Amino acid sequence: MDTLNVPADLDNLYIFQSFILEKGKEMGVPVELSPRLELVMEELVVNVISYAYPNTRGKIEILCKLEQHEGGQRFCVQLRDWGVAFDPLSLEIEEMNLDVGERPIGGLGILFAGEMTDSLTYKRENDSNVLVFCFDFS
Amino acid sequence: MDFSSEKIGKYYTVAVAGRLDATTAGQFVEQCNDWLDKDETHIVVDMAGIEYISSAGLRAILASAKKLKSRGGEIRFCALAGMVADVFKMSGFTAMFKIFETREQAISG
Repeated sequence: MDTLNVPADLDNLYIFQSFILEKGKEMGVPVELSPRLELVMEELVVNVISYAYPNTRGKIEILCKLEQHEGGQRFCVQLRDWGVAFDPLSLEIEEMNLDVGERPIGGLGILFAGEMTDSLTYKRENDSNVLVFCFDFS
Repeated sequence: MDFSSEKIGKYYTVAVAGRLDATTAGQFVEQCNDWLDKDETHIVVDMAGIEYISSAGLRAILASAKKLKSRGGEIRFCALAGMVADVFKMSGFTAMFKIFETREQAISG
């Protein structure tokens, strides 16, 4: 099975991360990409828990697949939840050139997700939020 | 996460090991509260044992840094490597904090 369906709970964070690392390994993703996979998975799962399921505890479905892309390969992870509509890509990136006293706490997660993936998309589909993030390798 | 500390001169050096993520960030904040309870406000965090850090970990560090600064203290870091160094750079933390290669440099720098 290349699909995982688990309650959106921080206690399950390592289950989500382990799942995509395992699938990535099976699909030939270079081990050097592992930290990026884990980090993006965490940032997006934490966003779902915080914003899509603020007062409820729904499920998150993870689907991994390998695609051909521009002469190389592309490992894509689809993350679906059935919470309130929430597009993390609409979040504003925080101002970074501030000192410790002025710097706001928060807003870095989506920056990392954008910077560490080769593709990151959002769509609202059949009352669910669908995020797809991909990593290219040759 | 594991924390081991040692007072060297005016600096309280803390070696942190493990994963600093959304499930463990609270432990870092608790440690900071312990430092403040002991009136330790000049902290060097040795990051050599940190294998993974996320934005939740950075939030805990920033919240701690703000508390230390409000007490006239500061937090410095040493021995960042791999993805930890990448994440610090990407988030602007490398420019915001004093970062050193070794613990000795952090204490004398």
